[in-house]
Amino acid sequence: MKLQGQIDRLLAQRASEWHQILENATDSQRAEFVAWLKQSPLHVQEYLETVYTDQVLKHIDAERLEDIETLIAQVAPSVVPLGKESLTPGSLPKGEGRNRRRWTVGFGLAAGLALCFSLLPFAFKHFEAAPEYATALGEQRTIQLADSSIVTLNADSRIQLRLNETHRDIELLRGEALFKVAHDPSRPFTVQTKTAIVQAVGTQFNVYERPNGTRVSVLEGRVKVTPLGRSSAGAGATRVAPVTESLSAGQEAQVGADGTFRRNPKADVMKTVAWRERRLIFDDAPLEDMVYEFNRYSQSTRLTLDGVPAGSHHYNGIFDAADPDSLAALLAKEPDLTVERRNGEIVIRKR
Amino acid sequence: MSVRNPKLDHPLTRLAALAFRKYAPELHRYIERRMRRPGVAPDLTQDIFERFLQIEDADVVRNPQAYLYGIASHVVREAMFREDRSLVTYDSEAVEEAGGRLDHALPDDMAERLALQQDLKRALAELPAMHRTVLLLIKRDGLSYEEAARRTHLNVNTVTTYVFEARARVKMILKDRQE
Repeated sequence: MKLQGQIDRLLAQRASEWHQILENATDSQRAEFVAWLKQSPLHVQEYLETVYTDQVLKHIDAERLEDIETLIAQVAPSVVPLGKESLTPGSLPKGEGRNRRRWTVGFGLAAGLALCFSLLPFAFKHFEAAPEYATALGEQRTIQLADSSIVTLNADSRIQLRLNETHRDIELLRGEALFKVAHDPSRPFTVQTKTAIVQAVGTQFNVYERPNGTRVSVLEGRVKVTPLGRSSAGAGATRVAPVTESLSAGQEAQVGADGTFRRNPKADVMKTVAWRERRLIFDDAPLEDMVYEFNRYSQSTRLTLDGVPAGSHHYNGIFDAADPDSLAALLAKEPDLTVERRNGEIVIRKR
Repeated sequence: MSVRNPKLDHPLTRLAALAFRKYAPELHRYIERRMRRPGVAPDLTQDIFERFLQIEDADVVRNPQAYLYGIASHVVREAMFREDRSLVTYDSEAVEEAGGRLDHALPDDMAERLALQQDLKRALAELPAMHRTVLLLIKRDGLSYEEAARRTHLNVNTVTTYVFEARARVKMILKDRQE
C-alpha cells in the first residue's frame, strides 16, 4: 500500500511537470509527452486529473484568507543578498563551530582605546556572520542568491556562504548540493569541501561531500577541481600535491580523502541528480552505500546493517528516497540476509 | 488581422478540439467524480487509452492535449449517454452546458462544492510555505510566472518548479480524501 502511494506521488509529479512543460513546448517535447502518455493508461489518467486539478486551483483561497505579504516575508530569508559589506574570502580563520559568529576579541588593551574605537566599526563590519543554510533529514531546500545563482540543498546538508564583489565562495560543510551558477566571470564561483575546491564561472554542477571524499558531477559548462590532499591520515600518509583538473558537462569525478582525483567514465550525471525528484538511482551500488543514501532521507525509519560485509551485495534499481521499506522488501528476498523491523529501525543481518 | 497557426489547422486537430469544447463539462464532471468518489465513476481510462493509441503520432504531436481531451471527452460522453439511457435520467442541463466554458471545474452540487473548497483549504495548509506562496500568487492572484518570480526574488524556473510540485501535491491530497 505504501509503495503504491509512493508510485502515485511520483506519477502525479511527472504529470504535473508535463502540464507545465506543455505551456511552451517544442515539437520534440510534445512528441516526448505523447510517448509518455502511450506508455500506460495510468499516465493518461494522471494527466487528465492534473488538468482538472489545475482548473480547480483557480478557486483556491477564494475567500482570500491567506495574507500574501506575510507569506512572502516568511519565505524571504531564503533569499540571500549579495551585500557589498560581505566578508572577504579567506579573511577568517577556520573554526569548528556551526554558527560561526566571529566577533573579534583579539584587540589587546595595549593597542589603546583610541585604536580600538577607530577599528571597531571596521571589525564589526568585517567579522559579521557568514550565513549558513542547512537541511534536516529528508528535507530539501532551494536558495537563490542575489546574483541569480541557485543552490539546491539535498537532505541532511549544510553550506556557508561568503559573497562579495569579487568572489562567490561557498563551503559545503556537509551533504550534497546542486549549484546552478549565474554567469559572472568577474566573480569566480567556488565551492569548497574538506577535500576539494571546485571552481566554475557559468555552469551547473553537483557536489557531494562524504566521509570518504567529494564527488563532483557537471551538468552544464565546465568546472575546475583542485584536490586539497589532506595529510591527516597519519605520519606515513602520502601528501598529494594539488593539481587542478578540469571536468566538462556530463563528466564526474571523485576526490578521495587523501586528495586522489579519479574520473568516473561510466557516470550518468542525470542519475546523480535524480535526488531533486527524491529518487535514488543505483547502478551496481554496494549495499552499504544504498543504506547510507536512504538514511539521509528518512526521519522515521533508519536502515542498519549488522554483520553484512562491505562490498558483499551490489544492486541496480530506482527507488523512492522516502521509502526505505522498498529496499527492505527487496533484501528480504535474499537467501543470505534477514530483515528485522523494530521501532523506527530496519536491521539487515547476514543469515 | 488574425494569423492562423498551421499546427492547429489540421482537420483532425480541429475535430479533437471540437469534441473537447463540446463535451468538456462532462469530462470534468467524470474526472471530478472519479477523483472524489472513485467507486461511483466507471473506469473509462482503458477505453480512452486504446483510442489514443490508435492515432498516428505525427497527427497527435501537433496538439496532444486537444487530442487527448477530445478523445476522453468523447468516451466519457458516450459512457454517460449509455448510463443516462439505461437509467432514464437524461440530464438536460448537461446539454445546455455542453457548449459552455472550458474551465468548468467545480462540482455542480452545492454540498460537493463546499466540500471541495474545504479540501482546497486543507491542501493549501499542508503545502510548504514557498509552494503555498507561489501557488497563491499565480492561481489566486493571477500573476504571471515572471511577476511571481519578481515578488518572491526567485527565478522563473524555480517558480515553475514550485507550481508543478504544488499542483501534484494538491492533486494527491484531493484524492487521498477518499482513502
